[in-house]
Amino acid sequence: MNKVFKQIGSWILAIIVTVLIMNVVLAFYNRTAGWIDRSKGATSAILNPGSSIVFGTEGRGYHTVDKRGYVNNVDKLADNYVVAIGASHSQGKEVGTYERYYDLLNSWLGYEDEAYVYCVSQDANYFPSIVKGFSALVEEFPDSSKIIIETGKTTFTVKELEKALDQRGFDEKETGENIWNTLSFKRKLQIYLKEYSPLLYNVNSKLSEIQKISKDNTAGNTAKKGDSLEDYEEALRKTFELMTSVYDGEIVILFHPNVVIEEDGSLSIEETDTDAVFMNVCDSYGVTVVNMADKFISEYENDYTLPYGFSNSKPGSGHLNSDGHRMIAEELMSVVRPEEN
Amino acid sequence: MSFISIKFALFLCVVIALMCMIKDNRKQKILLLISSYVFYSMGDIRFLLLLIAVSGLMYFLGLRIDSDRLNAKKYLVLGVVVDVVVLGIFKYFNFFAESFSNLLGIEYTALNIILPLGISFYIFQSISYIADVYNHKIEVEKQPLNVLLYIGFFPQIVSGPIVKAHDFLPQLKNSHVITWENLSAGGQRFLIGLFKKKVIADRLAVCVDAVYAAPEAYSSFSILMAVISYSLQIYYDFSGYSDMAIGIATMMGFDLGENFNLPYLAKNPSDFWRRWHISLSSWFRDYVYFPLGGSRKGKLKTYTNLFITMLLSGLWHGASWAFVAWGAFHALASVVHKIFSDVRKKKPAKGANDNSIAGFAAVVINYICVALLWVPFRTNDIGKAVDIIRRMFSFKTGIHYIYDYTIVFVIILLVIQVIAILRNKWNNPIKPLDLGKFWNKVVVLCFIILTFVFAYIGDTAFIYAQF
Repeated sequence: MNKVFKQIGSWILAIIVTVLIMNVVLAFYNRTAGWIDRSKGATSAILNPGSSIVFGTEGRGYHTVDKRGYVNNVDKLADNYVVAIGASHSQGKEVGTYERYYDLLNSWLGYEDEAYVYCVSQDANYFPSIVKGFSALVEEFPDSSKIIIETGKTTFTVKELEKALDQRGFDEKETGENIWNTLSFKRKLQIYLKEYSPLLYNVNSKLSEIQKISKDNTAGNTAKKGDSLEDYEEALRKTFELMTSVYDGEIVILFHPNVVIEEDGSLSIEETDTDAVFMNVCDSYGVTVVNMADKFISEYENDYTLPYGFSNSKPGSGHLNSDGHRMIAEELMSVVRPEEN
Repeated sequence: MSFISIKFALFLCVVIALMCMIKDNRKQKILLLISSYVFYSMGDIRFLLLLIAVSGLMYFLGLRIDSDRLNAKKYLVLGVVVDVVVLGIFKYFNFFAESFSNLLGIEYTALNIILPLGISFYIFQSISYIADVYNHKIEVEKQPLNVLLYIGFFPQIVSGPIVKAHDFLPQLKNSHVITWENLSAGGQRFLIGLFKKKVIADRLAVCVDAVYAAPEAYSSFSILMAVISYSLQIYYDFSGYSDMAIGIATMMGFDLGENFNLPYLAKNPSDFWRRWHISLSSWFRDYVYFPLGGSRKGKLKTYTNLFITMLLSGLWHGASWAFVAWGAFHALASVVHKIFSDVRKKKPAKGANDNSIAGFAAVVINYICVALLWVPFRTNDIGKAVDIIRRMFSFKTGIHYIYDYTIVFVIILLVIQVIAILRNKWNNPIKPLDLGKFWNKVVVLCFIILTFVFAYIGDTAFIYAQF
């Protein structure tokens, strides 16, 4: 009996030691910042201000979260600053600090200690979500001279677009460091646990991944009821109507489509029938579109440079890599360059 | 039902729990047979009847071989012919029909024939049973239960190892007591297999699939890395499956033997086949090469027998000319090596402790040959394989893609191989840990977490399950 208790004790101690070891190991591989949901604001959530991110599952990066809860190197805004809003591609966790397109633009334009191009990004903050928080974005950054909206696709359902018209609203209490004071003790504890226990975070992420895959497999054959292009255009027009009515500055759409490496070695752009409609609507509202398609193709044809994929993932797919960010920065340069007096 | 599923974990727990409760040998065997058929049915119930029919026929033929020794050879031949015909219909019909049609210039529309789960493996075990009875290697089984269980045993029915009758049937004579030692050793073995499959093989598949899908897009060096990646992927995929199967059997007190022994440490083609898919190689040696005469009927006949055996081994892997070519090249390499050894009047090295520079050079050369021969195996198309190999050696520019995980896993393999050379006479040095010791517990727990965190979530199909 004594031996059994001794063994149980030994196993418990082994589990504790293992948890400690693995926490240290995984802290260098994949560690996240706490996620804070909010009902009002430019994005539906921000990251815990002042925390940091180590990203190693796709590409590699180490980043800090600024006082507003967005992933930026500096939080001081320059005069006539530009806001770039987007999802995980814009966040650029997968590439190194100063390799993201907005960091490159700031560097090329000579902004070191302040941000001329400031990034407001959050995972899954796709176009409909951006539209939903657009009024709040304008309120949170009232002095911005331009707003760049990053999107990798144009296929949104009419329902998603219509829902986006119901604006999220803005509340100062739900911005950056202010929101921390509104959180319950339990929520704060959860955030700390997520930040300081990479083991728990990684296990949880893996479980979500498994869940997502099995869900996708089950739903694989369920065809989505498609909207007509006319309905899509009408819903899209309403979103641009809204955005142009609440914002006087210039709106720029940064469109970076997916690419496909063909069997014959060429690169093609994954096109959808909504692309042309989207571009036409942008044009009719005077919205500038920076379409990366040609740049992606020409760089590939020049020296096989791909905008997506990393040395630890599949080439040509996934998130923007450092070359993809550079290409975007090069294309955006002429659009965002401050006008000389 | 895949080994890597919650369903299987529950299934195994129930089987082991019931085995603990049932002490009677016969009842344990009935339990295992039912479990095996349930397992098989959950994979593909349509062909359960075929499995039972083949097993039943082998049982009957075994009895006839034993009782009518004068006509034993006829019954043996009948059994082998039936087995080969069954395998031929399901696996090779379209291949041969299409090849003959092409030869005669007739158009052929392939029939939609579904390959029954594990057929290549259980057919070979069926032949092993009647051949062993015929050769007096085992006593004939009077009870059908043992034969049915031997051919349908669930840990190895889908992808082997191909256990020979004379190795497995004696294990059915006694009851199996589930012990902590067996659970620990089997569990660790399963875990190693899981790591090999989900962390190593499936991650390497990302690189391999990308490059093989569009080789024209990649630089020569990237293709070289993909070729290396595939050599690792197929090794870790198949040896991972074998480890899982062996681990499950070990938990229940069965010994399925070893199926791999660091094959990329082989110094020559013969050595490679003593280390790669050992159960298949030894099956071909025992039931094809030896019956053909082996090395007893002169050198020319020996070389011919060796060539035929290796060619059939290639064909076993799949019904296409690419597999035939793959087998033929391996056969040629084995014959050339045998001739070379005969000329030097030296016996081929059996993984001997040869730490000379020549020995290491032989390992490298043998690996290069094997890795290149995996190209047609992967493409399943000779033309595509030639294109890939040509592009690899033509210093072409293209996407520069050096997959991080390839480098990591090459380093891991090299470390294991160095340990094998220094500590275990060129043999696999990995042994189950004694979980009574504290730090061994920590190592195993860390390994479990690493396996889970680094597991690639996606396609879980085993490469060898298609054969």
